[in-house]
Amino acid sequence: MTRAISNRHRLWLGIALVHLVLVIFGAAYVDLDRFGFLEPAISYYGALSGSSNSYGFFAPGIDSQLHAIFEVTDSRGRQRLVPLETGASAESDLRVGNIIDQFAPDRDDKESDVQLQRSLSASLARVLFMRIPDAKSVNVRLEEYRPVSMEDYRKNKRSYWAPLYSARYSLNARVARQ
Amino acid sequence: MKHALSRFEAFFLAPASPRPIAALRIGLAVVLLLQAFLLRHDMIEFLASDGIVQGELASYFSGEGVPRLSLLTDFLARWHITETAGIQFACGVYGLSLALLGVGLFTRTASILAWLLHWTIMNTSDSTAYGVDLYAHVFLFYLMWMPAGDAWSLDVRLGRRREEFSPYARLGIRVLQLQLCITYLCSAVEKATGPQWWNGELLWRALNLPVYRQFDFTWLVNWPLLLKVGGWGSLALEGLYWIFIWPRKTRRFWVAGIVGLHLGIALFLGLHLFGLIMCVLTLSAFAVSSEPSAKFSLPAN
Repeated sequence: MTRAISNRHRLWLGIALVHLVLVIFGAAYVDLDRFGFLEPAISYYGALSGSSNSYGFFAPGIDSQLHAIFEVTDSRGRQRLVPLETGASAESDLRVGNIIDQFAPDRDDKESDVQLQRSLSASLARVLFMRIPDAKSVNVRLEEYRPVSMEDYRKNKRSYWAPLYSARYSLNARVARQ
Repeated sequence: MKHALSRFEAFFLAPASPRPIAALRIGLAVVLLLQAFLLRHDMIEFLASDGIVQGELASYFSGEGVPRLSLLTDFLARWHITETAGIQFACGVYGLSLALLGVGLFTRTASILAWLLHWTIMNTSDSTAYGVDLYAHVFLFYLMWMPAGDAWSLDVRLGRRREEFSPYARLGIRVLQLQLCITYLCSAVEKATGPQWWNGELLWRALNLPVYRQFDFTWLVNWPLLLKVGGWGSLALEGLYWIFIWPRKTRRFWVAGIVGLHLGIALFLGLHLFGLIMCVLTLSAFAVSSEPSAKFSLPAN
């Protein structure tokens, strides 16, 4: 059984074409400010439909990876390293890694970087305090992976983790330092 | 002019089988159910206001004006229902909507619920989201509008819907196909602007970066040409997708190439769900026939 084409179908075709144009705008990073008063509506539609998404995964390349280390000191003064990842599944751990990636510095706005890193590290430290009841302090250390190129690898240089940010939190007083 | 217009209309509206859309419905539901299963132990950590990323910080990442689970949990709190119970309820309804979507029962309602709850959950834990979530959001949105329950569904079995060739099915299939063409073209253009995809460094770094490393690939340092060809191959598959996915003669190769690329990403970079969902998208849009007699795929015009 088939249906004939009606004006209603043509109307839906028009709507679909407008949507696809917005998909192109999103994927091509078109600045929506040029649409004036329509910009908020287009932006919201982009968020709810996903038409504002861009698709540059691994583009234009891979720079580094971030990694957080949590050094917990308990009431007896013993220190241990605790991962934020629960190890419940690779998918779950990948998502925790995405949270850590939010520490990535934005070269254009160093002040916002510092604020965001401070808030995020405090948030993560709080999770550790909740998970480990006898924790007295948590030292959050953020490291950035510096991969070497193939050429450097052949010259016996190796990739390494470089310190990026550090903050210590205790239950009595919270002091952040970088 | 009239001829061109009628060809244009036929391309988008000539009646087609809804089976490719049904395949997308089933594939997407299976991948998202698998994702929900894998994340079941950590949902509270990711979604609660005192989870890994908390309160205002979570709002900062997801932006303003989008739905978050706190809307529901704050509402339920009036009846002394805890936040944890509220999150579990929302996740339960989300899982149920995906299951109904997969089997095609109350498909329209299930697709609306699945889209809304997926978006809400994604916004609530925005800092954890990545490619698989973005694609799922886009294609769940499409399923709400398309005749997703008109084939391979309990709705058809129970007589609630009829499997029929319709202009809506063709339009839906074309939107899926064009979305993928736009996606791959823009992705390839963006990748091609950097040197890493051309000189083999991208694959070298990706395969050896701790977050993606599944096997020891450092031996590839002695095979730079292999890494270069891998980068060029990915660029070619994605950048020329919008051309070679349409002609019948090249479509099989392109579908096989794209599926191979994404299975490779799943296997060698550990991005299992991302690899799976991308395979589902291309297979449903281009490898499931919308014609009754074709063995492999529908004609492009």
